[in-house]
Amino acid sequence: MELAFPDSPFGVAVSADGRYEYEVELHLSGLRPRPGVTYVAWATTPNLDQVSRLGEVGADGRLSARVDWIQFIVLVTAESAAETAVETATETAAETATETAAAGDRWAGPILVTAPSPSGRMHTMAGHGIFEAHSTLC
Amino acid sequence: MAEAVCRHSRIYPPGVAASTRRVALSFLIALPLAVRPSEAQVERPARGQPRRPPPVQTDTQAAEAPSRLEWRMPPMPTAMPMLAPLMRLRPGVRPFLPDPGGPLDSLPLAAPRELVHLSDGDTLRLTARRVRRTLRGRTFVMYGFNGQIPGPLIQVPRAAEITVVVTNRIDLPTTVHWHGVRLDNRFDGVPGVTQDPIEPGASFVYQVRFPDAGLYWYHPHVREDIEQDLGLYGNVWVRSEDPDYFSPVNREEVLMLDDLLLDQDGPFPYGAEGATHTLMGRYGNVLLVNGDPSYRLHVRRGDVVRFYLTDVSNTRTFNLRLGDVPLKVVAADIGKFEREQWVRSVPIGPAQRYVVEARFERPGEVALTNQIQAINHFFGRYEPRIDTLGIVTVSEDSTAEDHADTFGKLRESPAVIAEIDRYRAEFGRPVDHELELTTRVGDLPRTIVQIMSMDTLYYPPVEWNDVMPVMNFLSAGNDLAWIMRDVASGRENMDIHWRFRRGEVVKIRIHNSTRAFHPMQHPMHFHGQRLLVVTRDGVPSTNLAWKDTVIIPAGSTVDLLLDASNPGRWMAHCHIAEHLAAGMKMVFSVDDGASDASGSGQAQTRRNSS
Repeated sequence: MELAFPDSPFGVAVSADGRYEYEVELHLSGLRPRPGVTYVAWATTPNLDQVSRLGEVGADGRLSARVDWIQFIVLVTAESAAETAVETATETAAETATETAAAGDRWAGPILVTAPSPSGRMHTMAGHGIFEAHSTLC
Repeated sequence: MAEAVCRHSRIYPPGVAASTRRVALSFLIALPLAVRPSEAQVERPARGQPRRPPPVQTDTQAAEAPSRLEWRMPPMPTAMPMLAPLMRLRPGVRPFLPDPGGPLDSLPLAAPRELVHLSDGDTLRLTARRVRRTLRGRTFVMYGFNGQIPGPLIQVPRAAEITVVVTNRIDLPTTVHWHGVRLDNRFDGVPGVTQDPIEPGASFVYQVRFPDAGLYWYHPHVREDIEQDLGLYGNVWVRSEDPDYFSPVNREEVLMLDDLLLDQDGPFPYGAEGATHTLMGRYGNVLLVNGDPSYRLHVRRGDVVRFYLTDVSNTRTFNLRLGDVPLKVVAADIGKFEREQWVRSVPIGPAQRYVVEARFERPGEVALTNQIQAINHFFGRYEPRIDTLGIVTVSEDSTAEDHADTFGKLRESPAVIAEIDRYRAEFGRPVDHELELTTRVGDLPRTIVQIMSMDTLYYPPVEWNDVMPVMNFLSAGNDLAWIMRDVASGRENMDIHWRFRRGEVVKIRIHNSTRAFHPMQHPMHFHGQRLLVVTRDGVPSTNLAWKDTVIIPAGSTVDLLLDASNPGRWMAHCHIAEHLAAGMKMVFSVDDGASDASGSGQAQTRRNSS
């Protein structure tokens, strides 16, 4: 996964409240085509209270999308058209997700890849935060 | 840990040994200073560093008995705890604040800026002098051109040439740099490159010509971290002869954005022998618009206002917003964009300029805010922060002349597009020169190095706030060097000397390295020329404007085309004042004798770098 700033007249692409805007470029290899399965990329905030469906990964394993969160995780899941329920790692997150997401707005299939944003490495003076266990791909 | 750090060569703990106090005072009497060193700092010179001479001395100060000015800890955000190992440390330079030269009340109050219309051949007298200012209940000394903060707003027609007689009445040497203007090299105002500093009491005559319409500014090029921060800045507004250059508006506002670091005693002291805050630059805690912490503007419902924005702060990158009022960006440093563009906010870094238009449709109050995601390193999180710089009051009265139709349209500028078209063929060609932006750690205490090394596991593209005020404050003098490294030769900063021929178009790649000790953004400024940013991180720019200062986020790579049209020896540097003070500057030459001046002919490709 690569992050880049989208073109901006100012050279720094930020939202009105100062969040960075990123172009996310996914390059996946080794995904085997499977009947009835589509590979979908998602972005979610660290506490999973917001989820954005970035789109389906193309046959070439590539996907481009835009994210304007400061700290986020990109996921790639294997989805079938029939699956719309939300399954998340924690009960609390699942409850939040169920409350706030419309059907199909969240992943239902198994997670194949996770990629935290670089901001997950921010130092806390007492450890390295919520992404400590993740390997950051970008 | 603290004890080990206190023994560091460039960091002085508080406390005074009586035996050396007399030595320190004798030194002061023999060399009367504009600075008021604390005894502790005087008696513990840096290990391996000879005591450097004071920055300046004047007859007025020579007659005065030295008084005490001691370092205190910098103001801290309430949510940011101070790390214990750092609390007893002090920078390796003495504290400095301008001396009033007599009773503070005897200084004139800083006056608001005046608009000065000048024509070709006119002369302006600019005097840098001490003024009195009261902010947040504290009265203190600042500097002002002609007693004004900001300095006079100089309005001239394009192609005019004016004479400016600058007289120095402050307590430091100074110069005036005409930022962004493609003027004669000898009047560029850079000590050691184009002129000697103007000593206190002396004058210098500048001849300034303005070949390009745009918004420029002037400021000292000596100790910008002090002189510019304390009020020596002003705009030059070069108007196009084309009456249709911009769309019609009801009003124009020229805003200089700044910040000032105040504590309970007034301005937080600066470093005498060199800048403090060299790690991240000096962020203020009071935001100012035209020197005023409470900017006010009154408009009528439906008015369209064109704002001319300049960031004159030492370090801060703003993200400006006018509530939910739609904004249209129309121009940058040196003229218009190819196409006007809707934007939601205006990120603007030190020394940059942008021109935006806004239409106020609804009566009421609209806040001009700086809206950022501040980093709280202690808790390892981003925090939304909104600072209000001013208020626009929109009355119930309807506008006298409704420009809604023209405001609602995005114009193209065929003239700008046509001019840039002459350079477009060069956008994709190989890079001529490549710079890497990085740091070198000098005498920085080990504690700071260790903490910062952990911090650098993550670097934000832009530091919108001072994420580590104490460590930042403590870095001074030789503690840290900011570096522009020529990738091809390995030369750094003032050892680099590129030579171009007049009329050449040079492609320069600048990479802001993440392998630096502390990666952060750099607003890079090239003197005396104009440039185009053609790609950022490989993404082509789709809407160009001529610029002179480009912000490069940490980790980013920018390819730019420099139109080497103006002969002379010129400086290029980071416009964070404290990074400039920490060495982040270089010189390039544009040799005369080639064909074209000022970009009026066909662009010449640079084929052979020298």
